[in-house]
Amino acid sequence: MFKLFNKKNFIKKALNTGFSYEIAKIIAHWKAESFMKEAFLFNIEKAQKAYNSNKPTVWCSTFVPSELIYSIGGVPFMPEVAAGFVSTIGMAEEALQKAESDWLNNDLCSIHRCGTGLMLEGYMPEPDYIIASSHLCDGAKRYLQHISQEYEAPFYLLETSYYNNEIEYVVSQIKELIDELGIKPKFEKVFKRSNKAYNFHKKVNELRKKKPVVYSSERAMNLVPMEFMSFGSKKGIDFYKKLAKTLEKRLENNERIIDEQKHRLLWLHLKPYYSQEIFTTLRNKEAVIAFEEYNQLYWEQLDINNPYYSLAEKMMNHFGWGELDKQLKDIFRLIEDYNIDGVIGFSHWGCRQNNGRMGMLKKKLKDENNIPFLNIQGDLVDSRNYQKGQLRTRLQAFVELIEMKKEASK
Amino acid sequence: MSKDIVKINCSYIPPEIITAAGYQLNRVWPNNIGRKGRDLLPTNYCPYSRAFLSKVIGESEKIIVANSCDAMRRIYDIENTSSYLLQVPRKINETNISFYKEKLAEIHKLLLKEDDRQYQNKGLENEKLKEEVKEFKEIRILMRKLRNEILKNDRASFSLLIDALKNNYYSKDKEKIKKLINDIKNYSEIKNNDYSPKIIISSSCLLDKSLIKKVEKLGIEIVGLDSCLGERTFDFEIENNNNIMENIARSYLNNKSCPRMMDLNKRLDEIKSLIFNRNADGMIYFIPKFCDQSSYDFKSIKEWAQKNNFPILKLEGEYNAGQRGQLTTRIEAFKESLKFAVNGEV
Repeated sequence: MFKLFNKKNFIKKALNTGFSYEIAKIIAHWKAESFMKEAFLFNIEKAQKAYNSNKPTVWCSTFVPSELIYSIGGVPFMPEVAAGFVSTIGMAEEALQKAESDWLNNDLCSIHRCGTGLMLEGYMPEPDYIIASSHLCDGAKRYLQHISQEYEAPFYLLETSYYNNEIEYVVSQIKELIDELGIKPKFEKVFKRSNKAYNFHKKVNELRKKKPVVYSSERAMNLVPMEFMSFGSKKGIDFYKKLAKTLEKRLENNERIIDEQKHRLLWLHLKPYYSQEIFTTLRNKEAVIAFEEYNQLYWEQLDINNPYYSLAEKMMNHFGWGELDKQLKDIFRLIEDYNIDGVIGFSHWGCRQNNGRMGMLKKKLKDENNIPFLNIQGDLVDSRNYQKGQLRTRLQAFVELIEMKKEASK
Repeated sequence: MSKDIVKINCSYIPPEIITAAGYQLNRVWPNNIGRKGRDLLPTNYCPYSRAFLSKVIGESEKIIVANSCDAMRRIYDIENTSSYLLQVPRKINETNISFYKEKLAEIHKLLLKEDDRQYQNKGLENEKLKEEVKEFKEIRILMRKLRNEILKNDRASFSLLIDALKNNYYSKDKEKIKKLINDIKNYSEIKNNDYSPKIIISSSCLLDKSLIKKVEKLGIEIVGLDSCLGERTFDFEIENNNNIMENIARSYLNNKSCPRMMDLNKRLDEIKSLIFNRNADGMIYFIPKFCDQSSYDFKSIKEWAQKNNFPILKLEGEYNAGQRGQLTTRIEAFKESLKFAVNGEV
C-alpha cells in the first residue's frame, strides 16, 4: 500500500484526476464512522476543488479565518495542514529533504519546510493567490511569501495589532484586502454556516468536560484542521453535529477510551503527526488527555451585521496572540473546566511563537501555582527529531509526579 | 543630574522621540548571552533576543521593544511590566505609516514626565522633536563620513563603524565620531599590492564585530555592511518640517529594509545597489542561529545571486562567530573562489 505513495507520478495523477476523488469518497463512506466520514468527505471535496475546479484556490496560513476565504468564493488551501497530512502517511521526510536541498535551513519550522518540499516536488495545487496574516507565526508569512514567488501568485498580508483595543486597524486591513481583490464578499451564507458549526463545536467541548474521557485526544488533534478549514462550509456543520452526537452516545454507553482514567491532562500546542507512542505511554500510566488548547473556541459567533469587525475579532482573539496573561487566563479556565491534573506543553522544533512562551508558562503554572507542567520538545512532522526512549521516560516520570502530588494532598 | 535611561532593541525605534522626551538612550548591544533569564527562552532561539533578555530582565529602566519578530514579542511577554511594545508594520503603505505614527506618538507621550507635559500642552513638543531630529541628522552625516573614510583607507577597519554605532551614535557623542574620522584621515597610506577581494556583509543583525575582524584578517576588504549593527541604522534622512511625527514614521519605515520587512523587491533592489555602488566581488550573508527572517531573506538573495553568477557565502552563528575555526576555513575557501572568479584563474 505505502509503495504506492512513493510513486510520485501516480500520486500527482491521482490528485489531478476527478475519478480518484470519487473512489476516495466511496472508501470514506464504506470505512469510517459518522463524524470521521464527514471529515474525510470534507477534505476529499476540498482537495478535489483545489486541484480540479474553476474556483480560485487561495493558499493561506492556518490563522486566516476560513470564513473570509469562503466569503470571497475561494477554496481555502492550507499548506500547513497538507504538511501534517503527508507526515501521517509517511511522506514528510522526502519533502523535507527536498526543501533542505533548496537552501532552506533545517532550523526553520518543519511544517513550512515540508510544504516547500511538496511544492518543489509538484504535489501542491497551484495557488491563484495567497493570503497570510502577520500574527502568531513569523515563519508562516515568510514561507507563504516565498511560495508566492515560486508560483508568481499575488501575495497579500493582513497585518494585525497585538492589542485587542486596536481592532479597527485589523478591520481596515481586511477591507483593503477585499478592495484590492475587487470581489464583493458574500458573508451571510458563510457566517450562518460558521455559527451553526460553532454551536455544535461548543456542544462537543461541553460534552468533553464530562467523565469519563470518551474521545481520543490523538484523534481530536488530528482533526484540528477541521477548525482551521471547515468553518463557513456545509460540511463543517455536518462534521461537528455528528461528532457531538457520537460523543453523547459514547457517554451514554460509557465507552471510555481506557478503563482506568486516573489522571486528566491538558495538552498545549499541537502533536506530532507521524507514528509515535506518546499517547500510548500516557494511557499505560492510566493518564488521558482530557482536552487540548487548540480545540477551545476562542472567538465569538460571527456577526453578519458587522462582518469585517467579526473577522478581525476572530483573528485577534486567538489564544496565542496578544499578551501572555490572555493565554494564561484561558489555560486556567481550561484547567478548571476540564478538571485537569497536569499540563503538557509541546515545543515544536522551529516554532518561535509557541516555544518562546513555554518558559513563562512553566514559571506561571508550575512555579507560581503548583500545577504539574511538562514541556516536551519534538517535531510535528519531522520524525527524525523524535526521541522515543527519552520522551517515554519523561512522560512516565511526569505521571508519577502527578500521582505523588495527589497522594501527598490526601 | 543624569537622565533616566530607556533601553531599546531595534533600529526601527527612532531615538529622536526618546531623547526629545528627556531620556538617555541605550540601544542594547550585548557581547554574549548572559545567565539571567536563561530558563525562560529555549536554547534553539535567536541569540540576540536571549542576550537582550539577559541584559534587561529585572532591571529598573524602561524598555521599548519593537515587535521585530516572534522572539522579540516573547521578550515583551516576559518583561511587559516595564516595557512598551512598539508595533512596526511590515508593509509600507499610507495606512501603515499612519498606524506607526500613532504608535510613535503614544510612546513619546508615555515617556514625557509630568514636568515635561507642560511643553506638550503649550504645543512645544514639535520644537523639541525638531531639535532632536536635527541633532540626529548631524550624527547620521558624521556616521556616513566615518564610513566613507573607512572605505577610502585600506588600513581602517569596518569594526570602527561598529564601535561608533555601539558607543557614540545613540549617546549623541559627535566629538568622538569626529575624532574617529580625523584619526582615520591621519592613517599613513600603505598600499597593499596583493589583490584583496571586496565583499559586502549582510545580516538581519550581525551580533558583534568578530566576523568583521576575521574577514579583514584573512585579507578580504569589506566595502559594505548591511545590518542594523551596520549601515542600515544611519543611512537615511528625515525631513524636518511641521509634520514631524509623520516624517519620522515615514522615514524610518522607508529606510533600508531589515529582512523582517515584507517588500522583497525593495529589499533586493537595495542589496543590488549596495553591491554595484561599492563594486563588490561577493557577499557574506550571516544568519544568526534560529533567525527565520534571515533564512528566508538569504534564500531570495541567493536566488538572485545564482541567476547572476554573483558569489555568496552563507555563514551561521551565535556570538563571537568569527572566532570559530570552521568559519575561518570557509571564509578562506570563499576568498580563493573570489580570486578565481575575478581573475579567471583555475
